[in-house]
Amino acid sequence: MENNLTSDFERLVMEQKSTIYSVCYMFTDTRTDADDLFQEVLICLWKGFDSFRGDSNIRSWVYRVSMNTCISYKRKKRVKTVPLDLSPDVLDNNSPQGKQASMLHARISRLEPFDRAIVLLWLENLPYDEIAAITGISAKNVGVRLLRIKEKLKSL
Amino acid sequence: MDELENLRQEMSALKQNLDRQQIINKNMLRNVMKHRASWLNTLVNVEIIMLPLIFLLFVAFGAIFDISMWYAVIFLILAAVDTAFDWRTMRISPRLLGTASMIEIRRKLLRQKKERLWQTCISAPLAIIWLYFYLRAIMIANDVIDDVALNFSISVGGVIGLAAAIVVIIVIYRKAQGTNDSILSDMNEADD
Repeated sequence: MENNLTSDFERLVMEQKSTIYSVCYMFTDTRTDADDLFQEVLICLWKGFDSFRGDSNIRSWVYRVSMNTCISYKRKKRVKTVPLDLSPDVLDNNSPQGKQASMLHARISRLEPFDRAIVLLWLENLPYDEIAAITGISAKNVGVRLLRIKEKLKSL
Repeated sequence: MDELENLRQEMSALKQNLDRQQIINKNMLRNVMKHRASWLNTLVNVEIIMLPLIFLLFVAFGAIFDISMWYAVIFLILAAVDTAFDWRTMRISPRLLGTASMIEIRRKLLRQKKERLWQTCISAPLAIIWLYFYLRAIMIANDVIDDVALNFSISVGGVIGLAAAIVVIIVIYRKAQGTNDSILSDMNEADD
């Protein structure tokens, strides 16, 4: 039973690792912080995984836990995470991909954290009602906010 | 091109690049899975473990100084209630992270702030009152009310212990409130 749980969780993380890491990257200022936050999200996912198991859409659940953990990260900033050098080479500023990622990060991180969460969920192709359920605002408000975010990005 | 569509393409490229990277392997993941406790959970867990030990210590003191065991029992009740409130006001359960919306998390943080304030306002004076009566009981039971030297050392010990306890309470309270405040200020944008 425990083995099934572990292997299910490993599979989930392997499938969603890029999404989770990119969200963490966008919510932090440094790659070390992104690594720490990535681990923190994995810990929260693991701790909640047993109680989740099929209650709702798994993708939505992963986003929800990731966003809630990222937004409450400061609260747990002193959590001791296992020191691991996770930083992917693709984020290395010396590579063209790294520079592109860094520019993307710079634009998104200028948004307020709540708007950042909305835009990240939208970038993941989530429908408005799902973004609304995760953030707790109405679907109509999601649309309005995305318009505002678009204007803000234009002016940056 | 639409700004958001542009971002979507860039994000998609980033994720494709990340997909090609290892980021995490099974060994790292197993390490993460072993690492279950956050500092807030650890704090509450330490309280739960320390509770019976400190109770036994007060029972032993009660026997040594020949005072009623009720002091230890009252301490246990007060500390147990306080720990239960810490459990409620200091942590956000992983289950909630997976079921609540960001706005609900915000509401929870606000509620925790209020409850923590009430908890501190009630528990700190109760702790001081309890300590006063406890030390007084020791002095009366041992007939040292008139022994100036012993009276003085017990009083000094009591004041130092009390001051240390108040400092710890204030530090934990301010830290917890401060971190909640900083998250709430990040999420104030969600109000409109």
